[in-house]
Amino acid sequence: MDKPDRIHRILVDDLERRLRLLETVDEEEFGPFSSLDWALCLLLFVVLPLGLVAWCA
Amino acid sequence: MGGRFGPEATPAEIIRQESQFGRLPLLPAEREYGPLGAHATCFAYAVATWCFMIGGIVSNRAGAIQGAVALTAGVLVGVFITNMATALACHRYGLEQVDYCKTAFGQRGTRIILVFYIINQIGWNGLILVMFGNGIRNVARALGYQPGVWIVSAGVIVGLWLTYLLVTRGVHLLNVSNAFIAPGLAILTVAMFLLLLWGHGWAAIVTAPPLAPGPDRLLDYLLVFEWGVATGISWWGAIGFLARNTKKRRDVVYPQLLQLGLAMCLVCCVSLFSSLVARTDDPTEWMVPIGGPILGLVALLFVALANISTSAIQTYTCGLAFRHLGPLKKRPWHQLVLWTVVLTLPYVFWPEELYRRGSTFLSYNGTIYAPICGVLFADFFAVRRGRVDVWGIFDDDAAAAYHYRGGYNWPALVAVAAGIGLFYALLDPLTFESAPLFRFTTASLPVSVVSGLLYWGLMAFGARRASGARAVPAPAATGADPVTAGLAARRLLRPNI
Repeated sequence: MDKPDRIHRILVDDLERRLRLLETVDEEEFGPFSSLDWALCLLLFVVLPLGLVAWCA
Repeated sequence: MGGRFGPEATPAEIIRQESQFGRLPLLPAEREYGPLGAHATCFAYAVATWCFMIGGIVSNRAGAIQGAVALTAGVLVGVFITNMATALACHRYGLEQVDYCKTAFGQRGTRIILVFYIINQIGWNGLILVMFGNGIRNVARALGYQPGVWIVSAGVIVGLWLTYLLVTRGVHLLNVSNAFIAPGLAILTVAMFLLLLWGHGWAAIVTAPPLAPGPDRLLDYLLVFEWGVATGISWWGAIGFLARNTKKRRDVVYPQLLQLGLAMCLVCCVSLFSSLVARTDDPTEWMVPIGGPILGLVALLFVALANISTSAIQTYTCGLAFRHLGPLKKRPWHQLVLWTVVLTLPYVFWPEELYRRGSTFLSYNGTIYAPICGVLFADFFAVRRGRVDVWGIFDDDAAAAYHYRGGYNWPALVAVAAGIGLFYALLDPLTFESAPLFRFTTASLPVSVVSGLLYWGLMAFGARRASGARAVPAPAATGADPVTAGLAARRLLRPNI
């Protein structure tokens, strides 16, 4: 196996290992992002800025 | 591929390099940033020299209060649009944003997005280097010389050379310099603001008229909002890197919204105020009048240094983007960097002309990225319900999930094209002529929404025919054990790593 093939094989094997892990990892590992977070983000970063722009126009 | 790794590279070293600087998805255990790290890194990204440039551009059309309100609101909305889908998806699967695009645009369709992305990176890079050249010219002026435009072109060449050296030979130096440049710029901004207040007073700031207002005050105000949205959306290129390196979802979303949105605006606003008082939109021209001959000169030199650091980051990310293009995939790193340098050369020949079109460049970002972000938002939340077949992203096989038709997902491309058309109908980004509707809707926001809805509708319409359109059910929702469902035996048919 020449060098580019060897490197490619190493990368593909590791990529497949990573994809399996990412598919099976528990969602809690990534922490919550609840509907309350969504509401807060929408309010602070969309509704309030747009309201402020309209008010100052 | 031979040029990417040294001859003695071990498997562990190859994997380490490819996960850090390449495309291997990052696993949760490999991610660096907790809440503090995420805030610090986003802050370092946000507080860069382009903030000074954006503040200067805004000063042409709006005064201090209206400019600050419209710009800040626009940036926050823009960061929200670009952040939510891309950041949450890239975080969940440890991906770069260009790879994540494949779910919506297809394996080959993503290359079109990549071209837009590279134009964006080159554009920012060129503008920053011209600012570096302007800085050199103004240092010379402060020392009593009167050089012509040639010195700006020479500055761009020197900047390109330094950037090339940094990115090809000393990325570790970049990490070191970034550790003090962002805090230094923050201190400089606070110092400039205090000097501005001390020397001129708040009343002079808020009563200073715009530098080059148009005939319609409301239109100017909405244009500033539009530039703000475009600026916020411009962060799209940085979001994948930040998200895939962060551990928890909330640490992805809140630091990006607060730092890339709010912290950036604070610096932009100081630049806006300074530009209005000093009556020039070029940040390298107001530093000496505002800061005085000594502090102003020190500030100019520091900003010049920061420009090189920012330019090196742009060049670095642009080089990584070239890795996705077939013919360049296996080329050595220095050749990819050289391509970035070559594409930036127009800024050597026409520095002033291109710098003056900075506002057009901001609008370009809105024109292109608003529909793309709308499509990605609809794709992740509406079409796929937050679940991606991550195997399909790395598989070029015709039967893979995101191959679609010939590698292109036409609904996404049609939705983006329609969005760009709608943007032009609402606001011409070259002349800034607008339709009457623009006064009620602005442009980027409705374009994002319409493109997203159109994409969702087209995908629903063609769901049975589009091979990758199905949402991948969460294991918990189906009750199926993914290992017994065949995950352990799954293989990539034509891996594209």
